[in-house]
Amino acid sequence: MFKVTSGYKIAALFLLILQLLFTTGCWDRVDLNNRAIVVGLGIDSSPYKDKILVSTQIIDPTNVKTPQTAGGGGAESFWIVTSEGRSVFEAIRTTTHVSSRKLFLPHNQVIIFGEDLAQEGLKGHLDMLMRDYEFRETNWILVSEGKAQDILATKTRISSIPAFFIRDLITERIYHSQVAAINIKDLVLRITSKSTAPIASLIHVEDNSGEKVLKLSYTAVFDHDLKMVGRLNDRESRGLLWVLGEVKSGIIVVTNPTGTCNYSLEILAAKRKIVPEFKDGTPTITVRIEASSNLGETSCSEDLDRPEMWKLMASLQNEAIRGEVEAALAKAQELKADVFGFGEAFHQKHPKMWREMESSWQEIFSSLEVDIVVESLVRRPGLILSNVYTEKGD
Amino acid sequence: MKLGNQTISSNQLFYLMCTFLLGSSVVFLPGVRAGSNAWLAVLLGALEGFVFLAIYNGLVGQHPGKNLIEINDLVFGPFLGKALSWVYLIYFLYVSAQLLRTFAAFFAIIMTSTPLMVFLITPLFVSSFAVRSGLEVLAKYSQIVFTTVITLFCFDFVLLAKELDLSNLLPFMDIPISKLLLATQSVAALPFGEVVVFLVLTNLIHNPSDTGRFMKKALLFSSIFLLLYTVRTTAVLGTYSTISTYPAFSALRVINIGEVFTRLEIVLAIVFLALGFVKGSLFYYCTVLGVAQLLKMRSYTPLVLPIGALLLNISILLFDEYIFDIIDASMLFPFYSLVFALFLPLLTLIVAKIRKTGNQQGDSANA
Repeated sequence: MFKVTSGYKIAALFLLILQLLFTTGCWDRVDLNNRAIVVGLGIDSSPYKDKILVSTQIIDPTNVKTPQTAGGGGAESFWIVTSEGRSVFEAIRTTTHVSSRKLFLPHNQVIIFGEDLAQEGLKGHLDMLMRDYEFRETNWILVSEGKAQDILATKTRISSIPAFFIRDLITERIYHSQVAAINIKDLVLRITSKSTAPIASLIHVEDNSGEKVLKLSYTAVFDHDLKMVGRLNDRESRGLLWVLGEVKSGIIVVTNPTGTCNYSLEILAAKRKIVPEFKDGTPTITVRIEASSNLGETSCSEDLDRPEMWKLMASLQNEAIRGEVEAALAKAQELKADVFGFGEAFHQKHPKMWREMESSWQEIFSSLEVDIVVESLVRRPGLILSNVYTEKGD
Repeated sequence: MKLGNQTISSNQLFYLMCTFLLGSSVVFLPGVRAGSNAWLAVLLGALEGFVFLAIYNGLVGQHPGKNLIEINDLVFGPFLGKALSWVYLIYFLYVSAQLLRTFAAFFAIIMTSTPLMVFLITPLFVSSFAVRSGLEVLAKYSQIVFTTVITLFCFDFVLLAKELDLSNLLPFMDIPISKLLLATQSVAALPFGEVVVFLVLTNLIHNPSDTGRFMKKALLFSSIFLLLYTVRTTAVLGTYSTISTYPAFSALRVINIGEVFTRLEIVLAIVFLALGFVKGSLFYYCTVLGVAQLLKMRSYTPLVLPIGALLLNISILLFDEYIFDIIDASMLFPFYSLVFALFLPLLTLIVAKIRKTGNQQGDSANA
């Protein structure tokens, strides 16, 4: 009796193991050799009015350079396919007419919109990027000067795949903090807040000593319908980032009071606090910024042995930061675009008053009184204290 | 007559109930309709849950060691009591069918060409096996799952720390009060009101006098967990949670620690699979057990497969378009479930007090 049972058990176990061979996947499995891995997406306007052009940057596995094959030159390790459609989804599917493999989007890094399309408005082209599970909320959104297709097709050094290169440009932006960057999730937050203006980084192709390179510079500003209404230059962009609390590092160059030489200060850390208030019934915003930096370089030969010099540098730095924020504010008020989220600050702190202000917020913002209070420190001198040309007084 | 072939300890009841309450709430953010005030809806909903529990505990305290069906018989007499029991059981069957369908729809979003049947039959088959094996198996399983889930939750919390923005929890109370109440009611109904199903199990617990205490503990623990969970998800997603179909799932999609810790949402899908299994199986088990008890059967096992087949068919017939599931879950279920979560148990309790059925001393000990 016992023997029979154990025999059955062994047979059952064997059958169970055997079935693993035949039930290895489900209907929806797609093997890696049937996938076209998309890393970058460019969306441009088309000559046909109701259509758009979608360019996809696909990794070409036959040409990916490994250390063994590198240096051989030849074909690129990516492939740009452009197709047309009335919607993003249709255009992406149309790609299958020319691509032998179906596009696979979860590894997509960047989504670049052409400037023409951005000026017409991106409102109608965003939905799929959130609805389709293949796109990730952490994809970066950019706007290109010129066609997005050309950005994706630009050969890059260091990283042979342009989309990875652009992603790295964005993550390394913290070292200059002069471009704002936005991913799908944060873009949605800006759109749903109704008062905050959406932003995106701008990218363009630049001639750098005879070589075409990609440059991440300037910040695009949109209205609520995602029409690009203007741009912030590098200085204004950092002004914006100070208020958003996204300045991580960067160099502030300040000129000494006589205007003969300068100090380059490397930002170490920054914090900000936005306080929405009502002064005699009028809404005002106070922005408090606290920053600290190191002395990175100087052409001044003043004796830095004295504390006053460090106080001087800090006060010059305060003014420089304030100047950047004021420049950003002036530009934003001119564009009537609340890129800072001041409206949202009122909404969060004074929800009752906000209801009255909400409909006319654009007007209120364009003449909003903003107090900028900057407190900063210059902490450390680096390996030398005073400049080598400094003449000691004693 | 005890039909369940196994009994569980009060401690196992605690784990079973915690797992049950987290069940489907982990992918659908509770109270999400209240926007930035979702946490408030969860808090108020949990308080309502305690009111429900007080009624159930009152019933159990007055009739220690008896389950819902026996109590109905005692309180309303054999004919009316049995009719009422059948109504409860139909409701349990319906809820488990709905849960199964929601469960399948979640996985069908990603695997679009796989037939829905696969996602319906596979979990149901495993579930029927669990039901056949009995309550103790489910309870032991929930002990393992619960500790794993709590660990994973802490892990996620650390990974999301970078993305937390507490200003997303503001503004406080800027939505119309009706919207907040609707959100509160949906939290009260969706995990907390469903606790009524535990009344079918009250005769299977080792130490009946402890039942009330452990149920309170479980409710407290899981409402704190859900509160933290809601605060975390809202802080990460802000207004994004209001447009997302599965907010908690979206929150985990945001995790990106150095391009290494990414794509962790699959963890949540597995957690949902593990937790939803307990919830679905428990409803299924209670339906089977109740029917067997009403039909005065000696064992409930012959009923497992027939009722499973019924469950499968109901879940297919429920709706064709997903939108009806959403409307049901957010607008209708919060109200019609009140009949079973609140009104009928309350009526039973009142009639029981008037007719002085059961054990009056137990009542004062547990109230």
